[in-house]
Amino acid sequence: MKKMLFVVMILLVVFLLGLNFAPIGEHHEQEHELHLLEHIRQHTTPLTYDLSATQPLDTTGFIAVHSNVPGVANFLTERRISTISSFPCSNCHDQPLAKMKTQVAPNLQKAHWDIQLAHASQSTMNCTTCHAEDDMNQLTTLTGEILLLDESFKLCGQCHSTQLKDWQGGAHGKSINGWKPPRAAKTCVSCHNPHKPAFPKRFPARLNTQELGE
Amino acid sequence: MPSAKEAKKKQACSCGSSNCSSKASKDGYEQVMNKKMNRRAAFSNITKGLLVGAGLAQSACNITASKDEREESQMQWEEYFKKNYRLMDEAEKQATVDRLTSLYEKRTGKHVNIGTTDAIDNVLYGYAFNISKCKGYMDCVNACVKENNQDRSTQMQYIRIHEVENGQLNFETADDNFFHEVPAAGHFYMGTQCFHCENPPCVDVCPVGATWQEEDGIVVIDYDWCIGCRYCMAACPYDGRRFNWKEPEVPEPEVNLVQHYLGNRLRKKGVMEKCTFCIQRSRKGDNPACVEACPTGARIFGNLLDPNSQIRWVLAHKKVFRLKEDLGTEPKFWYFMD
Amino acid sequence: MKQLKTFGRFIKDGVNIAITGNAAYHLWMGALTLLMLIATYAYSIQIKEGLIVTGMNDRISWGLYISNFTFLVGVAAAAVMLILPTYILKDVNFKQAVLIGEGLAVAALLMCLAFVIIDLGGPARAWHLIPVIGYFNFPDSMLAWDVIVLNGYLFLNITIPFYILYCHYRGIEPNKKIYLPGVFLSVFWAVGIHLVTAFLYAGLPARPFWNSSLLGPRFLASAFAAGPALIILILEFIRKFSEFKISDTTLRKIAMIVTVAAQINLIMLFSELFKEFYAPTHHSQSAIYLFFGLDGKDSLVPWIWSGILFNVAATLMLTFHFIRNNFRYMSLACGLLFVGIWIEKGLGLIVPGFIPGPWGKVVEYAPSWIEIMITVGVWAMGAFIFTVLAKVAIAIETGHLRA
Repeated sequence: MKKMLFVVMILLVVFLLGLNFAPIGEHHEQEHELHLLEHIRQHTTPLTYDLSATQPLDTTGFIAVHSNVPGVANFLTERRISTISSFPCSNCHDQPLAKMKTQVAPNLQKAHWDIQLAHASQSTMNCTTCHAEDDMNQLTTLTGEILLLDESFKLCGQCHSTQLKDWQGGAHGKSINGWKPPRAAKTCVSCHNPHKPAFPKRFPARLNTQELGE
Repeated sequence: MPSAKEAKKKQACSCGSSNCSSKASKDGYEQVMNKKMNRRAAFSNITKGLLVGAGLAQSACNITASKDEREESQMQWEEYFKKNYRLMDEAEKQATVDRLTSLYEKRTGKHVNIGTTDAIDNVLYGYAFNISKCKGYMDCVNACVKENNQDRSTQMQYIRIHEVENGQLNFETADDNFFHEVPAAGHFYMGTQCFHCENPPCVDVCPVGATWQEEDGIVVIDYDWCIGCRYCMAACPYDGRRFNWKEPEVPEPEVNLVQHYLGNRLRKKGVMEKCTFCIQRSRKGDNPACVEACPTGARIFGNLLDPNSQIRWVLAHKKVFRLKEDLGTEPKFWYFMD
Repeated sequence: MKQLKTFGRFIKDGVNIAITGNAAYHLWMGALTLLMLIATYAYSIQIKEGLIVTGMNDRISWGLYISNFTFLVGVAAAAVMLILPTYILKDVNFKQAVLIGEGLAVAALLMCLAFVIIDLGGPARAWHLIPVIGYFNFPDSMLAWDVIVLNGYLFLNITIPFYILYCHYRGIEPNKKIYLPGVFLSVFWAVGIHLVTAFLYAGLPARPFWNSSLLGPRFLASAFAAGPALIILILEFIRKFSEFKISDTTLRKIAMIVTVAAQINLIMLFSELFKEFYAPTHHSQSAIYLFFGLDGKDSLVPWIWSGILFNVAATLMLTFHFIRNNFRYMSLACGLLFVGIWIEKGLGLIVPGFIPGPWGKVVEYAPSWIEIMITVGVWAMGAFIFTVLAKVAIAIETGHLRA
């Protein structure tokens, strides 16, 4: 009799505990732990940071990029004009381009004689694709609109529209001001030489000789 | 049983030494503290006690050691007994930073800056790696080693760059220690390091809680708390962690003096270390050294909670994936292609 | 006060027993001491230079020390295979062997603790594990669980036999009410220590070789085969060279336990081999490395195959009654089984868990001389402790040693 009672008690306890913890019957509202992506996507308000300890960015050398990509805020990129030592070019080169074209060698290619254009084929691009024919201080779009040298990214973006979009979003290029606002990125020509954009092969920066022994 | 004999023995003893079986009134305390002894025995005992005491005192505070050496020993003594960083209050954190700075200055004469900056509010760091852009240059590896004061003698590297064969995402056939012109034809490159998982297996397994995830998502290690059992290393599926099998050697002129307690301060043998998303830089708003160094812009870093950040844009507009997603570790390191 | 005096005499008598013996005994203890001294010297080098003096590296971060730790936890847990029949099933035949078994458990546990401390990169900081003054990551970390269960089991295995022996020393009957609850607890606890140790490995999805639900049961089966096998060998030695009486029935019954455990162990091995090799996935690479080699690296292949060979041969020998009942062949089988399981559960389990690495790297492991010397020294320490405990226990149980 006592043994049976003991067995019944054990069964009762196990059964009741099981009912309590097992997810059957009445649906228990459990706190739903957010997965990482759900948690991230909940944050939709742009943030401000208290980074008072850090040095603020000196924005004089930067130009604002008004992004045309939805969801991308405006950001800064490097100016180009201020880094060219002898700008404007026309200070010295005051002859109109038409006149320069008529000159015979060796005067024809006095300036920029060393620039080889290795950027797409000859049928796609030549000097005047980018440089404004009648104004050496400016660039030109494919349809003849004038662009400042500081806005060269708009020019590159005509053919490289995917890269332009990526650059504005932040997936392409190098950032200058870390991850903190204001966002500043290098401009296209800071990394890519517009006349010869291809990067040559090189050797890696190091070899781990210790690991070779593993 | 031989009680008569015992009784006689009791009467014979006069010094109350513990060889006799005691009566109820004379317990151990009585026997030791109220021991009757002659003057000579007392004198000899007292002298012995004094000598032992003096020896102890001398070894604790060496009279012949210089003030500097004593200060150093005192600081090292306090360092040994300090708490887990997470349990320290501001004063204790400042105290240990002061000790570490002094000890370093005593040793090298240089002043090191060990920060204890907390996580910035509303920040959760995320990282994205562009497979199309990585060319295998390994500039990131060099920058990381220099920035984080890693051991040069074993060529410790947090970052591994894998040269993977086209046609498969198979690391088994990949080479992570190549030295030829890059990018090599028929291959692409992927970098791995600690992925700072949201659900880190290394944090769960540490028996002393020496590694944990900070509020801003960085998984950190308290180097002075780690006992070197290497369980976390076994638990990490991503080869994120490195162990100091010997005393790390960093050439003095190359030491990065801008440090963080949980980041690139100098470690010792027998402790674990790993990528900390350059905590000494990222908590000031800068990018980690690897992101900064990459010439192709393959590495992207930022705040996942800021919808304006680059990392959020990448996650929303690029086809991203993470490695070993099925393990449920939720790494905060995504890969994507152009 | 009288208690303290008797206890003092007990200690003194125990020490006396430990230091007296014939020439062979002194040679044995002397050799063990020499090995321990060599190990101490080797360990001092390891403390000074760091763990770089071992064969371990970032890829294979656990080696000979943890392999031996894993195996010895099993040996310690095996004492339960004697405790259960003696105290719970009240089988008289086991009574003689149980104290020896518990002594073996103590020695094995002390060896385990030694291996863990030796494997630590910063043993001076081990106090960080102590709750309250340190930071004890319980219940998240399985290592924290392991610290609790191993120390608890050590406590049980020191106090219960001590109580019983001390009672016998004083010529009084030990009180069942005092030791029986502890015994009961230690049965579950023994299973607990080995399951927790198995969970240490099985709980890591990063290491697919270990991340199997069969690892815990496999540990138990191999422990209950290897541990009692060693106990049989020890008991045979004891009954040959001392007055301690151990009946044939006792040995036969323990051998039966070993046989069944060994058979279950083989069935589990077969199950694992099937899972790895029937439809190999990327996760089977570790098993492929272990049994066949990978990328031309096959240093563990002869190791594991000899282990399997020993296990299969020993299990077969023990399965057939007419072989098992021949004590000479039974001892041989037990020896083979012990070594085979040590191979399979030690280096044959720990090292392949790390190969290939998380990114597919195949790096081989070979213990360095320092590791080997320290390991041998720790085994010598275990043998030393066990010899002392067994000698005192035997002296008390044969009635030679009384208060």
